[in-house]
Parts: sequence; structure tokens; C-alpha cells
Amino acid sequence: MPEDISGVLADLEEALAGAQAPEVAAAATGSGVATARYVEGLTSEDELRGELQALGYVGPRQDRLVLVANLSRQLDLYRDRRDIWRAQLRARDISLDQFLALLEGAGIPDDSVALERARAEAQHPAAVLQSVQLSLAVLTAEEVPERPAGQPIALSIAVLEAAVVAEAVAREQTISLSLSVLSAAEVPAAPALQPIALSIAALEAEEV
Amino acid sequence: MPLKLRAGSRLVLEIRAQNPTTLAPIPGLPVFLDRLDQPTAAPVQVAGAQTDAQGRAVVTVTLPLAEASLHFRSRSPGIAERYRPDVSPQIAVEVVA
Repeated sequence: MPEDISGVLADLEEALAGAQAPEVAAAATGSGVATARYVEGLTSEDELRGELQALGYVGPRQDRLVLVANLSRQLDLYRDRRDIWRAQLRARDISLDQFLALLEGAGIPDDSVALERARAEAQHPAAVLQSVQLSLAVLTAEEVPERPAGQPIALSIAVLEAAVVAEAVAREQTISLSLSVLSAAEVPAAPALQPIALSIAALEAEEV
Repeated sequence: MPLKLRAGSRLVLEIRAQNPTTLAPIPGLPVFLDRLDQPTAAPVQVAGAQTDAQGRAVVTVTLPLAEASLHFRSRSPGIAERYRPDVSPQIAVEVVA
């Protein structure tokens, strides 16, 4: 057989395999409508069976379609309930533990519950953090002794930004300094000539 | 009743993070310490820490050198705008000369 003829025959065979008789295609569409009516709650299971019977589905084929319809109905119901619970969790109407308990009650496997927990914690970190209970307590209070007035102090200067002092500062330049007490607890009480620990940090050097 | 302390004193504070339902400690949680110079003023973050295995974080603050009436409070990051006073108590401190 010439190669070009065999190719044409193969294409024809493939086309015939995919084609359906018009009545078969119509019945397939009809079964989808009948199943959808049952899934949406418009008909009962008996009515579904009657409609399938009228469309020519009998015996095991009908049973298979009813099984598919029941599974689809359960899936829709679960999705609706889960979406409602997720919305309640987001609105903080229920806690994460309550949400997971509802999922367990719906009969989903443990690993699916774990996935839902991970999803909830990943999507709502702020919600998780907001439920943290914080307490604040004073452990110790180290009070500095009273310091006599008129006491002389010595200052130590620490330059924090090395880039500023990499070159010698010209006489006409202005340096903005920030004076801050780093740790008042280091302030000694006495004797009179003890220095107070201060730090002066050069924040920026602005050329005039 | 505020805690009266002399200016420049050092205060060591402990922050505890717990699950509000089980009261189990929460380790590894970033926590902040805020200072409020006035009850209605915006808080200033003065320290940050992370809770240890027991859900505790210890922070040290040095009080200002001027007289003041301060409040300290603990906070977790991300909830500043929805701050709940019932889960983040305040400690009042009166700084005296």
C-alpha cells in the first residue's frame, strides 16, 4: 500500500473513532443537564433516575451516572461549607482551632486538615499574631543615687561615622554634632571628680 | 499607682508571650517595647527582642534625665494599628529628679 494512502486511511480511522452518532451526543448532553439539576437540588435521586431512564440510561450505566452525581453533590456541599468557615475564620467569628475542628467534623483526612492549618497561618499572619497574649512586668529597677549639684563633669567624644573624619576637617567647615547620654546607669553618684559617661556622635559634616 | 524612679535609672522589664487560650508560651516571637510620653501620644518603640524558648524576652531601658510621666507597653509586630490594650498591658513610671 502506498504510504500516502495509508496516511489518509489512518486520519479517516481517527476521525471516525472520535465521531459520535447524533442521538448519542444528545443523550450525553441530556445526562449532564439531568445530573446538574440533581446536584443543584432541583430534583431528587429518584427523579434523576427517571430522567436518565427517559434519556436511555439504564442498568449499570445509570448507576454510574447517579454515583457521579452524588459525589459531585457532596463535593459542592463541602466546598460551600469550607468557604463559609474560611470566611468566618477571616472575620474572626471562629478561632483557628474551631475552624480545624469543623473540617475534621466534615470527615476530611488529617493531612488535609494540616494543609488547611498551614494555609490559614500563611494567609493571615497578622491574625495569628493578634491572638498572642502579652504580659509586661518589671524585673528590677536600678535607681541611680542622687548626684550633688554643681559637680564638674568630663566628656568623652566618640565619633560614630568614620567616613566623616576620614579627612581632617577644615577650619571653615561646620560639623553637626549630636549629644546623647547612652546609659544613664553609668552615671556615678560620687565622688565629685568622677566623669559622667557621655557620647558625642558626628552625624554629618556639612560644608559651608 | 506609677512606679517612682529617679531620672537616669535603669529598668529591666520582662515580656511574656502566651497563647491566650492555652496559656502556652510562644517562643521565637518578635516583641517590641513601646514608650508613651503621654497617654494620648503616639508610642515610640524603644526596644525590640525575641522571646526565648520559655516565651520570655527581657529588655533594659534607661529612663530620661528629665522629670516625666511615662508608660511602657509590650507589642507584637504587625498589630500596631489594631493594638489591643487587654493583651498588651502598660506599666506607668514617674521619673523624678
